Amino acid sequence: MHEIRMPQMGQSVEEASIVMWLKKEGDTVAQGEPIFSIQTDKAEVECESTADGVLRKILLEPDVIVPVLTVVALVGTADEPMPDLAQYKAGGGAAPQGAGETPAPQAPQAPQAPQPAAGTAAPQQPAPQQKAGAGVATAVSPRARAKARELGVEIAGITGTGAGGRVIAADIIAYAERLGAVKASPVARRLAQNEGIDLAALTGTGPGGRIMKADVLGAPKAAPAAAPGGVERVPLTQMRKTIARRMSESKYAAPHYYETIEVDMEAARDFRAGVTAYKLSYNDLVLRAVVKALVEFPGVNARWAGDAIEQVADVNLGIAVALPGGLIVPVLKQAQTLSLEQLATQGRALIEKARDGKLLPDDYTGNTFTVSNLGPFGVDHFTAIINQPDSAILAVGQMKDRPVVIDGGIYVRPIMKMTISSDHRVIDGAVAAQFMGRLKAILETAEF
Amino acid sequence: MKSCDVIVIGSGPGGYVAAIRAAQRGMNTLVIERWEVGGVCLNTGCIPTKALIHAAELYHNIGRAKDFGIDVPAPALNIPNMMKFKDGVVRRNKNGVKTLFKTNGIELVQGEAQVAEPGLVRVGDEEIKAKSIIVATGGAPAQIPGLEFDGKLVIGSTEALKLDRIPKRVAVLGAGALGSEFACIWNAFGAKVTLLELMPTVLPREDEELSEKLKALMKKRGIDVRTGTVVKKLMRKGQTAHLELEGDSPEPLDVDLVLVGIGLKCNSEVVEGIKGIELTKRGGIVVNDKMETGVPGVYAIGDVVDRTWLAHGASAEGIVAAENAAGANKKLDYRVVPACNFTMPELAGVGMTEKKAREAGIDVKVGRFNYIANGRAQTLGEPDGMIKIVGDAKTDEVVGVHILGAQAGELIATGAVAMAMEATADELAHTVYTHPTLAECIKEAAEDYRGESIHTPPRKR
Repeated sequence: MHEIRMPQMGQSVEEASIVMWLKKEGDTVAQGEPIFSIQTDKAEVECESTADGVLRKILLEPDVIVPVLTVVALVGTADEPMPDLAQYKAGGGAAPQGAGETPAPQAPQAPQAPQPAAGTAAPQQPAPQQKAGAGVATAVSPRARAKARELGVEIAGITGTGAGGRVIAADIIAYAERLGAVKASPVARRLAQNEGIDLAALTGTGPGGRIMKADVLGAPKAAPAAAPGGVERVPLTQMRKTIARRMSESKYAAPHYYETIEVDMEAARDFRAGVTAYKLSYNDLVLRAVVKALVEFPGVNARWAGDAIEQVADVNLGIAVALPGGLIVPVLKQAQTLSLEQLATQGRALIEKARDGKLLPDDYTGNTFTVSNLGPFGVDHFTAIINQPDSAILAVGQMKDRPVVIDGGIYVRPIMKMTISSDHRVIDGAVAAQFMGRLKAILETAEF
Repeated sequence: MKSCDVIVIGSGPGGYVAAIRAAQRGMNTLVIERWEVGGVCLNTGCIPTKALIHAAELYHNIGRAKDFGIDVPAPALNIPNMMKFKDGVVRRNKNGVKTLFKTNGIELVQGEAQVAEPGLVRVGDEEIKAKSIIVATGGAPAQIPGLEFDGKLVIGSTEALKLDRIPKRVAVLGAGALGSEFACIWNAFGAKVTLLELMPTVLPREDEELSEKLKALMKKRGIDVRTGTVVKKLMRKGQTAHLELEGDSPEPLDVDLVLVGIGLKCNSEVVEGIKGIELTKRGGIVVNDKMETGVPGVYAIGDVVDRTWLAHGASAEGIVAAENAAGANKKLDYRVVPACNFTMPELAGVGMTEKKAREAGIDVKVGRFNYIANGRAQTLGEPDGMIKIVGDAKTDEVVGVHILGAQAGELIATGAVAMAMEATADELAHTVYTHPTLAECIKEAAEDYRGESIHTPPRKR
């Protein structure tokens, strides 16, 4: 039986945790094939099997930090007898399953972590969200994750009663029952879901104490309880670390500049009102217009490759999705081949997948252009940071009725402001301006 | 001096309901009525008009009975018997209310009341003390200069209900509920009806899309519907009237009868001179959502507060006023007040029209379904109509339901319940409805909202 160990990624790295297993017990693995990914304090990396055979035993669960070179799995032939596993227990070490809350949603979420060009195999492994007090790995049992998925429950905020504060399936069930016992109108439930508000924490003013829409609208957004007059240190989750790193890198490497346009969305609104066969949002129309414009401007659907600019044939559209505690950018691949209906439907499915934490690496890699929409938050206008390795990102604000002057007369029109951030190494001002002009034209003439 | 816990002035749908709720709450209650128990609704409004509408629909259906395989000789109208039927309905309802007063221990005083001062009401020679007063004196048609009622040629709804013959040619001024319903009744009975309306649609308070469809159906049935048109001058010429019009269809008219269905005023003289009570332009008593006037202990409800102008609105307000007089602290949520116009076919609605929802800044999403595709509608021979559900795309909250077609008045109740419970379109779509019923149209409209109506051909985009 061959021992698979936690690799030492560089001399200074002393410990690491497994982010996720790419193979499960019983799978056949080949030497050199990636079978798990790890999170060191410098990077996220995929790790290969050091032997051929069947993955017979996984000894280390994700999110548990151990010293490097700890044995994490056993690979052997299918019928080899299993050695005494007690010898591997000691390694479990450094992770006193964090006391208190273990909220990590059932599947890990984090924006992609691309390694520019060289370096270890494109890792792109999402890191689980941690909320434990001591900043060490928290744990949610796989059964609890599965239960949460089945019951449609958010793990964030559930206190674990398992060993060391681990969230176990029973905790999920109890929470769901408490939630189910909460009486709320359908609209109140939907609103709470949209806004990420915990219904169980609200008081209802409807008949029989039922929570109504007004109660949800009046609920204060969950604010972290800080010690009165003190400073609360919030430990960094893996997602937070990754966002911090990637955003800094992007801002440093790419010389950003910004261009804003105002779009009259009346034609788009009328168009949308006429579509009743499927759900079509204003954002879907913006995405569609972006895709069409990108097809005409290959120079914008491009990336800096150091010694050349790579213009990508496919429009792989990144759609920024806000998550509790972070964000992720699922990618709609080959968006230029999709019809409007497909774009809307697949986009929606992707976003839901992102919110459920069910994105696979393939879902959040390969972007060539990204759109970020803060309109639902009431933001009129903002500038975004380019999502590497793209060369531009579109920041979309809310649609709002404004007075506009047309042919000398004043009219009220629904106006939406959009700002493109472009990497000046790749895209010049005039090119970005023409792209934005085309985008505006597509939206204003409802050329969907 | 006599004294009681609460005096209710007026015994219409607002007053009598308030009185019964007050009695249920253990209050010593007295009702003062200057005219007929039951007020306008029972005597010259909702009830008698619906009786006539039923007669009109029956006449219309007998007229096409052969379509259903029933051969009958052409029906003839027997107006005296029709009036007997209507009067009988009114009488039975009125006796019902009187019995409810008796069994609830509510004293009924016939006479004209005047609020002398807060807590004191004068009726005839008597003065009665009361801890609370609920004013439910209703409203009346406002006489418009040039169009004053003379009881024979130019009339209001009260006279319209007592007609001994069907007019040959009649002009109906105002296509609100009153005008539109009478237009349909007389048209069904064979009169030549011209319906005049200032606004661009009939039933201007309802959803535009449905009003337009109703207008087309009314026209198909032979009513000369002239929207965007008003009377400039009315000239009486003996037994007939000549009308000069202006607007979209200004061709002058000569008619045998003019029904004035516009102009309202509130009967607020009963609180004249009481300090602290404010009035609206129409003379309506100003109240808050607890039905309190500016004077503690004095409440007002129904048409006299110039709000819903609906009988069930008055009743809902009456309940709130009675509860509050009994010491509660209730408010009326006006968000869900359905209404039905008993035209042919009926048009009912609850919540916001599509236009109002958009104006309110709601991200509007709509679901529709036509009666013609509904099995029950076909079996009834009533294929004309549609249901429209207006929702908020952000949460799919149902913010309005509008129905044109047979039984709209009954069906709207489902929409009202859904809205009162803050349902989303999903709840309406996922409920299982009986087949074959008209109610299935509600489900289909909700499914259409979700883009998956089974009985609507898929739309390609």
